[in-house]
Amino acid sequence: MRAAEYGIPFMPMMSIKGSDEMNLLHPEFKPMIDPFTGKKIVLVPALEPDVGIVHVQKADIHGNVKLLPPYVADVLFMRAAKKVIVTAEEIISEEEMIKEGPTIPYYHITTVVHAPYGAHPTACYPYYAYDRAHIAEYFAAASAGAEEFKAKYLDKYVFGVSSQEEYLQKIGGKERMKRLESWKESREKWMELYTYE
Amino acid sequence: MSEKFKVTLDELFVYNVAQTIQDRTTVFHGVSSPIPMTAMYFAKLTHAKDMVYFGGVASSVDPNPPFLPPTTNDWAMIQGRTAMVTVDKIFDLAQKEYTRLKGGQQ
Repeated sequence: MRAAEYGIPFMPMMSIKGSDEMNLLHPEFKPMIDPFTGKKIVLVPALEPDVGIVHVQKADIHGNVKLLPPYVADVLFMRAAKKVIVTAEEIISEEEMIKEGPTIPYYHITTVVHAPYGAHPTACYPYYAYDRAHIAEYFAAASAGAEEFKAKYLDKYVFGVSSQEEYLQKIGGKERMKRLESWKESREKWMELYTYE
Repeated sequence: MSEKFKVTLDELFVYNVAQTIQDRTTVFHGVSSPIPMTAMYFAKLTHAKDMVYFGGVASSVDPNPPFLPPTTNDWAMIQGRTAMVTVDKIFDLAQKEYTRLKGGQQ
């Protein structure tokens, strides 16, 4: 993906040593002799996603994005993908964005969607912590097989809702959201969320 | 004289992983790795005070979390950190052989 970000066809890697396992897992990787040092290197082809969908804390209408840690490879996704859909907790004004300082500028972003609680059931700090009880429900349904998962989870939370508002009602509405936001009240409240089932 | 006491399997794992960490080394754990995370933090608080600790995919150098969360990528893991280094940069360091990957994924 770094190669896609740089606009180059592949990335030479030193940390991957060519092996039978590598050939089996990644037949697309190619070993090569570095023409400068004569050392063995492995070439990894660029991975350029057609579309990247990334949930962020703040965006403005132009597509400037303010991303707060802990993020993982989100900035890399946004730079590597051909098109980027950003869903944001908050849409802020251009003036506010200038004050905040965007993490990534608008020309990387194709479209912005205002989606409060768009990261649920995972966390989007500082707004809300992750929903441990909901993830447990998801896990139980997913572990029961494809049919059970469709009946118990997808039909209820994905196909069975017509809007984000309806989804938020289904997951427990304001009461649940207030609980997920309670992490910032105190350390004890925060820790409680991790034992809440 | 040795004293007998009970430990859980998790505690035993944490202790043994911590023993593999030497002071002044650089360590990193991945996501969903509470045992390596606890072991690294334990090592840093005991025999490896000068180890460089990358707080997993939370991108933190030497974080000082208010508590250890069950997920290893959490707002808690960015508290009190010295610097932010995103995970792709940590892999760059590993490639340069500056990082000795310890613990690993559960």
